Amino acid sequence: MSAKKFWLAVAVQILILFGLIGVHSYTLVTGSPVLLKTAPVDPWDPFRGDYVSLNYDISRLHPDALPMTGLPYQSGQEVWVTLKAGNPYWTAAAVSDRRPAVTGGGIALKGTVQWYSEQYTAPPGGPSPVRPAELMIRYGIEQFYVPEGEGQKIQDQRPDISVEAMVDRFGRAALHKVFISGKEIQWH
Amino acid sequence: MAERSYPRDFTGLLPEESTRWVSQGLISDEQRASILKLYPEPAGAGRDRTVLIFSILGSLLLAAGVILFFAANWPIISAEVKVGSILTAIVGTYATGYYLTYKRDDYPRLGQAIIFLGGLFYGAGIWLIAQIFHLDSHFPNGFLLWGAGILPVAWATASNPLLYLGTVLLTIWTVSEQTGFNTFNYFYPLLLLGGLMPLARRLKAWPAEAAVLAGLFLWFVINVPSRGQTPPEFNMMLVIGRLLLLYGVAVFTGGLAGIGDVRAYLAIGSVGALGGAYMLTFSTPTYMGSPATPLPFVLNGSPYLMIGTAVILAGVVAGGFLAWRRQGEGQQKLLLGALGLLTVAALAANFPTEVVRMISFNLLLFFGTVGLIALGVGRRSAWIVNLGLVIFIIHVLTRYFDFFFSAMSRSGFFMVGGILLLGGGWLLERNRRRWMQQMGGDGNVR
Repeated sequence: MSAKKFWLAVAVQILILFGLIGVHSYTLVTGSPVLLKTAPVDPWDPFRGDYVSLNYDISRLHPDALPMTGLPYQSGQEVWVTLKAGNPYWTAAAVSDRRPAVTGGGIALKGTVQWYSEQYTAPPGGPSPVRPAELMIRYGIEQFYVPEGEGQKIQDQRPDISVEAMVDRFGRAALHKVFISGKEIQWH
Repeated sequence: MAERSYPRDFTGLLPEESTRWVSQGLISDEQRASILKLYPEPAGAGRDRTVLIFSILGSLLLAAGVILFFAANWPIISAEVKVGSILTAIVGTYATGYYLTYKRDDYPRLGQAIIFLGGLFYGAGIWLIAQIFHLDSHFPNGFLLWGAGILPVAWATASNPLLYLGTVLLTIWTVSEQTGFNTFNYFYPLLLLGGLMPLARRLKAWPAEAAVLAGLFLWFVINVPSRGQTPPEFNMMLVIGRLLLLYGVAVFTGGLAGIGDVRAYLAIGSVGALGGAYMLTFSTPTYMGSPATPLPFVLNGSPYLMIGTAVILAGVVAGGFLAWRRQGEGQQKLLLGALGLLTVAALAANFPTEVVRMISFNLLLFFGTVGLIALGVGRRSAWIVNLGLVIFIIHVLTRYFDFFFSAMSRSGFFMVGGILLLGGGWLLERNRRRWMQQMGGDGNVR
């Protein structure tokens, strides 16, 4: 077996690892910042340890509160959310199944539909007659890894958490900074 | 003159067997040494497989420790140091494995285990980078990158452990992708047929080849419920049973036709065909769909199901044709006729009643198992006989539970069951020894 063949095969793996870092770094370097409101829960991942699962205000959206085109959405479908700047948090202005033409300082963020439920109307006499239609979206910035034990603390305190994410021209988002009660957290 | 290669079972057994011949006075020590020189172990063969197994277990433990260490996400270690550490660990481990395997002659198995460790560190690197940079994009991709990324190294180093690891990881990938995200995942069969299968053939790793055959069916069948509407009376257990039976026949005929490694094809083919028949021996549970008697006709479902069934059926016809041409003697023709009967049963329209269907498939399963054992005896293949016996025992136990669990008192049920099992075991063992002796073996399990 030639050494060249062996090291070429190993180089494929190293390239994959650098590719993961490269794609993320591209978004961080070239993206535009958006500040998002979120709330924590604290799961644990056997491969990656403690993390805070971030549930954004723009994760759960309602068709009756903002325009959505291309309904109904399927689970796993790619959708585009138009974000508009707020004070201080960015909010969702519209959802579309195609990339929107964004104007006026807005940003188009790409997400994946986790689930979509139509409006439900219970039979007469039911306790909750109407449940509005709902859309749950993931943006790939829902996990923030923390040192062992810290996830539980954050969960217990349930602090005010916000995130600065960078969104690149392809609509990809990357976590840039996490703020707890307005103060950026850094463990290293 | 090119050196001929011999089966590993043969070269692996020869040192021990030849020692016995010396002790029985059949050959001298010198003759034994001369014989052993004639049949060198192939590269990577397991004269001392225990060393490899222990080393692989050591690699797994070490990798688990490293993953847990980094998972703790120590705040005092910077991201740069973490990335540097994991890259150094990957390259250093591969370099050590390469050195031990190819530059020195005395530690090839340890070297293979350390190359395997390199593959584990590479996977740890994927998760670690995801952790450092808070990447949360579609978790099945982690298994895809890991499984696909180690295949080139498996190819370059002819590493069976890495091949098996890749096979498992890619299976986890497609199952999580298809069930968790409802995707078609057409890339998986392409990767199986274009990457894993040629690699399994090259490394002569028949379990990996068998896993590819099983993976193809798994991928196809997971997609059935989500690809298009199926008629409401369709019961998925019965649909899967029929498809599995049909797929098993297709793979089995492929084995008879000599496609790929015969062991992989016959093993997956017989388990598939008889497993499918087994699923069709049950009454339809109401919680899995309609309790109605009619058995769905698989060619009458969604376009995905119809096309898939047609492809499998084409496999049955092609495999049967090739097997017929290749080994056209009487016994083989009889076997192919029996497989044809199983195919008809898999595709047959509704049975008059559920009881008729259950009895029919019980009979098919019984005669199919007997046919498998007969094939094993005819081919002098101990593993086929043993596989047939295992299927037979599962069938008998299932029916015993079906018919007597509620009809007898619990104590009586277990006592009678125990006596039947012991008696059945004695009968099977006696017959198995006789078959093995007829086959020229010594009756020990191989």
